[in-house]
Amino acid sequence: MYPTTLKPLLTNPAFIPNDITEAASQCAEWFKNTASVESFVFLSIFRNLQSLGWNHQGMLTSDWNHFLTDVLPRMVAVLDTLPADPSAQLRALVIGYHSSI
Amino acid sequence: MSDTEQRLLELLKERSFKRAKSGEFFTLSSGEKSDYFIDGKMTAVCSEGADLIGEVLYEWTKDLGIDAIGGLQVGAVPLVTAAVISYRRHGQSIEGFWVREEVKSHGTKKQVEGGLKPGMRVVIVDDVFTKGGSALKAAKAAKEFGCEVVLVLALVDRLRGARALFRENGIENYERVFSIREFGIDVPDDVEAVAH
Repeated sequence: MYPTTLKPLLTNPAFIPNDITEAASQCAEWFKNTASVESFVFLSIFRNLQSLGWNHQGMLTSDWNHFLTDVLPRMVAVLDTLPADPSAQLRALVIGYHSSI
Repeated sequence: MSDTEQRLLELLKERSFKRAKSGEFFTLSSGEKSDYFIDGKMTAVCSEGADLIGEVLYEWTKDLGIDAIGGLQVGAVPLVTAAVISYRRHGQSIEGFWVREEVKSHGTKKQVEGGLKPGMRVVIVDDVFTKGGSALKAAKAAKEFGCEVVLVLALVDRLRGARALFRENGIENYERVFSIREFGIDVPDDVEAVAH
């Protein structure tokens, strides 16, 4: 099961790039405790954003807005689907993320 | 400003300072919007930039009697490396360290990497300060490790409240090599005094 604090973090309207660090940390814990495709996908996305420096230096606002509108809501949709099979929501998330990078 | 600082400023302007195109903005890690951006790594990991940064950090810290210099990964890592090499070039030796944002959940579970020991006098550095959150995190980790933070030093301060944040957290010794004004950005005097 994903950390109980993850959904409130991702649905916070004040989510900022600096929060990516905390999100990655929670997803690392989730993946450590649950070897699932969804925990791996979430962790991979946040780790990738960290490697791009989004949590430290920032990015073009258009890229950030794309993340807020096309990626974050799809992550929440995956969480909302669990514990049922989230395959369709995961696929939508991966497509949304792919189009945002 | 020393010749070394002057040349470093020129290099930062040339390699790291970016203006957004018309109609575009940058979103900073704090969530603030800005029409400019400073990518410190572009200067810190080129030969001349690393050399200059090392010299500048040495000059700013050489009389403080410090044992170590460090900061939060990833931004501080090239600065720390440049500084310890510069100390060596000047016939002195100090330890470098960096603080992980996340404690490793496996292996050693260390948050601080490097030869830091409790009781050491340390300087915390980072390339670009907006509100100073990264440096504050590193300073707190060093204090929790049992070290004395004698100075927090920014290469470039965007003047968005870092000094006030440090003061609120009991850190009075804060300095910057450059402020954003030296890049031609006009910032009202009172902005710096308020932590947003």
